Amino acid sequence: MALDAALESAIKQAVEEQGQPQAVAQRLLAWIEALGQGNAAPESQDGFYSRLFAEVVNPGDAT
Amino acid sequence: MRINIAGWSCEGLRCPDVDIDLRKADGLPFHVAFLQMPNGTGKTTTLDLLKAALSGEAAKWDEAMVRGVRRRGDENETGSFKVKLLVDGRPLTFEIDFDFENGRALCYTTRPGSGGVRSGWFPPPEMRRFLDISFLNLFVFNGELANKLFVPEEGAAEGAIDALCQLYLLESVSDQLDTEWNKAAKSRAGPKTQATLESLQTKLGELQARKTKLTRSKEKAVAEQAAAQAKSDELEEKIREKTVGMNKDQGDLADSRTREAKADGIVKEATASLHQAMRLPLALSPIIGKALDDWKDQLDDLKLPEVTSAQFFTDLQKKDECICGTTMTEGMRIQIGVMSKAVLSTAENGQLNIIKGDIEKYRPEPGGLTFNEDLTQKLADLSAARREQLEAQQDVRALRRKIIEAGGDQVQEWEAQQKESDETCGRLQALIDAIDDAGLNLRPGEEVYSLAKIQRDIDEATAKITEATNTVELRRKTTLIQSILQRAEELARRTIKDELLIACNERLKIILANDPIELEAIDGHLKLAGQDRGSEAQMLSVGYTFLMTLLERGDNRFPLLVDSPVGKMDGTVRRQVGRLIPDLCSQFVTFVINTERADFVSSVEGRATDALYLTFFRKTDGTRRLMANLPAGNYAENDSGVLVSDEAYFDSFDMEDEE
Repeated sequence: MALDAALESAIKQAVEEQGQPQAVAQRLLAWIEALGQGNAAPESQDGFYSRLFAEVVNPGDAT
Repeated sequence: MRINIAGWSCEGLRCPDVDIDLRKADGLPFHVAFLQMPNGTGKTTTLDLLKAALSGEAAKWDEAMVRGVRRRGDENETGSFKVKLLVDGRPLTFEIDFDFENGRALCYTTRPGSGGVRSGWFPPPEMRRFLDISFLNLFVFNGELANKLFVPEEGAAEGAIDALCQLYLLESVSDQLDTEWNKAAKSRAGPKTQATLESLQTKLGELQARKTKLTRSKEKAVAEQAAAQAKSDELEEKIREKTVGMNKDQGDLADSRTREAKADGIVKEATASLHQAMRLPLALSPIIGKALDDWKDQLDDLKLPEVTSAQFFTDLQKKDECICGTTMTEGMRIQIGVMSKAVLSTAENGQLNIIKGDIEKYRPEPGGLTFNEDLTQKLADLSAARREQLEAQQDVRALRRKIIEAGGDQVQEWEAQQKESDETCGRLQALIDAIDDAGLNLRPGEEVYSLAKIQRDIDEATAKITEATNTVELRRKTTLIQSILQRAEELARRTIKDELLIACNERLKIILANDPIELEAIDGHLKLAGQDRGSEAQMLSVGYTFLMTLLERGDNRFPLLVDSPVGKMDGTVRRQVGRLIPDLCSQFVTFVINTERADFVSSVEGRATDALYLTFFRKTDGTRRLMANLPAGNYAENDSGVLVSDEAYFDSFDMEDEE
């Protein structure tokens, strides 16, 4: 079940404004979508979290 | 996705037992279904049960809430409520079984093709969000909701957007990030702030600079020392050559130097041997050795620790007789068990045996020296070696002085230069020794020359910086993602509101063509353009339009189930709202009482594709009169109520409140 289109594009835009790669947006969307579908059990939150943080780059390193 | 309500049924609850079917003969739901129920028949209870079953919230109800749905005065132990949906035409059923005896509600889900009946609330994942209670309130509600959308304090319009567009999920992720950060910060020792990290980095820089400086100093000192030593050796050779004629003195000097070197070796060996002997405490004083021997002998005399071990008492408990010869009783066994806890544990017992073994091991051989006697002997050996060394050194100095003085001014000058070179060598050696020292016994505030100590400090600072960098980095990333989420929420909310505003106003232009009104903003609540309030009909029309426009986002279709949609409105308003609603939704189910029929029902049915007319009342003494006129074949009855499916009966029903 897709998220609201406005929410999806807002996340992509906010990620871009912060100079982060779009992979960060994809990780965030996957996490939010799983939460929305009730598929983000507490034990699986760690996985979403670590995958998201692995994509975040330091502001100075962002291209 | 298109969601329709196919019907519901209940049994053993506050509302009368009933089985409502909202479908036509072809299995599809009626576009409009009127359910006429006198006040007191259970409209509110039915609405609550529908929400509880659809959202699965019933499973969280406490005992009081569960027992609250049982009919007052009834003693039945169970009850049930079932709601049937059609999701894109496929059936989906949620059921609640009430156990009044234990105050529990159990949910069940039936999805044909997915394992049939399943214990628990398990909607298809793609529709889960639409069954969240905050979202359900947008399409299953009482007529008050449409009005609440205009009340600033209620914030209902904003809440509706949150629920549909799932903006609350951004906050959920942000909260989860906080949780993860707190967890990570707690598990990490050391500094967590940027300022502390910078301070550590400065300290590391200073340490590394000091290391570089000392490494260079040592290299320079080694080179300078070699040069000074070479100069000293060269001068020594010159002196030797100049005094080559003093054969006997030169020979004596060589012998003395040999003796001095030998004495140096003996002193070194004796010192090392003494240091080794001093490490044994019982060598330092004969009193220590004797005290330890006496202590061990006393333990042996008392047969300790054997007789005081817990195991001894455990074994004793199993004997028929005590060690005193008394026949063992149950009471004695219990007492022995209790008291055994006050004596030595197995671990303590083991430690005592180790100490006893060590004392035994360090007893001197019979007839040999005691450790203290051995130490005393080594001290004497060192003293003798030191005396021999001093004598040899004195001989070397005296012979050398004699040779130098006999050599004249030139030799004395060389000797003075050699002394200077030797002093330089000594000073540089002291510096090299300090740099090579392990640096384990430094006094507070003492300048550090030990490269080993500086390297240890560098390693420690590096470890702290690595830890702190990771922590600070994690905090930075957490803050960054949270700011992304916050910004995304602002952007999404703005876009959604703008889109909704345009869509609502386009719809209102058509719906209220004869009574135009426009939405100016959605700012927590709905704000009308150019006016604080419109007529009641206008306000309701705008409210319903907003809700249905919102619900249709994402190409989804939802039913509208409304209790008392028009309340106490006058005829004009009822007609306007009645004409509007069928156009807004694919299925409209409404609970009405007989006084709400006028104007509203006729307006709705005029715009509906098809309509179902149901009348439902409880069986009581007051409703007995209604039983006489039931249309043959168009009603169902049970012990608690009657359900009539007949338009004419619906139109003529005249009961407002349950009697």
